[in-house]
Amino acid sequence: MLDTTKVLNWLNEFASLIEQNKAYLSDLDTPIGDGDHGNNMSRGVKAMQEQFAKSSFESPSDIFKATAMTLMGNIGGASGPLYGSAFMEMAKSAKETSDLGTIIQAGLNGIAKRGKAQTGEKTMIDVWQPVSESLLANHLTQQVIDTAVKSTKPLIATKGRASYVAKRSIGHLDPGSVSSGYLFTAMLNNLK
Amino acid sequence: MISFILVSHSKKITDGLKEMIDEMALNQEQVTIFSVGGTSDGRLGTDPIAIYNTIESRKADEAILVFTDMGSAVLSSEAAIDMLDDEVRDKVHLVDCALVEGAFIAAVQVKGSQSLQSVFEELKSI
Repeated sequence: MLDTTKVLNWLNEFASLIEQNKAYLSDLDTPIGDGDHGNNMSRGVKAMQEQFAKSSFESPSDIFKATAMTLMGNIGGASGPLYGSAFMEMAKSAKETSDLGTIIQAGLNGIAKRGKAQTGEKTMIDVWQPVSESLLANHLTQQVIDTAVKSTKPLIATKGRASYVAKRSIGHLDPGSVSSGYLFTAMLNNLK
Repeated sequence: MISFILVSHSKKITDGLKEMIDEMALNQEQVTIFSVGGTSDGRLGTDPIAIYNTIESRKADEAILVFTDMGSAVLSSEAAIDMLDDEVRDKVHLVDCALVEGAFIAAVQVKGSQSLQSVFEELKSI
């Protein structure tokens, strides 16, 4: 069952994972992006935690909405509107349901709409899509998340900043997929 | 009144473009220009919330034209426009053209033009 305490624990653990791996995320972003994914995400999740500390939330939907707004206003790169759109759609969905699979699927749809992307383009969708499907089928495991993240390594980027380096993106993990992996690892640790 | 909102990763770019249009191309009785480059804490980047707040502050205008450069400038502008109420969103046009050339030419065009639609037609050729 989705309650505000669990959702806050989930997102606070996500923030910790981003902080711990900030340098790693920026390193991943250096050969194929502009080298700032870790720092950008770190600013976003810090602002999110500050917002959590001074707010009281009545529902998971309220938490997702606050998360959307703070990530959008503080990340600075494309991850801002992408994660922001995901959490905005999750906020809408969480008003109607407490089924996590349905909520994550709404988030996935938000990202796909905002980024005009689909699976196989070496974006965070390559993680959100399989995670959403596994959740809906009720068999999400850490292995599903890890496999999804790794699956971005051999792909050629055709969307986003990495598409500017095209074939040179082969052999590198997609940074947005790695940070999305942390989001879902933290979710698994707190909501299952 | 029509508002132009300039969005780039760099505030220096949007400040410079605003200065250029204000001095060289603008009829300030018809158009007001807003520089919304960079992040709220002064880094390179874009901020959907700042774009949203700027649009909201001009919602009484006849039209609001948003000009962007690339990447997250487009995504952030689209995210901001998505958050608007329907009646405000109907007035907002995310213009698909090169930032500098597009905003400059649109400012010139608005002066003598019959309609916004003819301005958009002109921008397609940039």
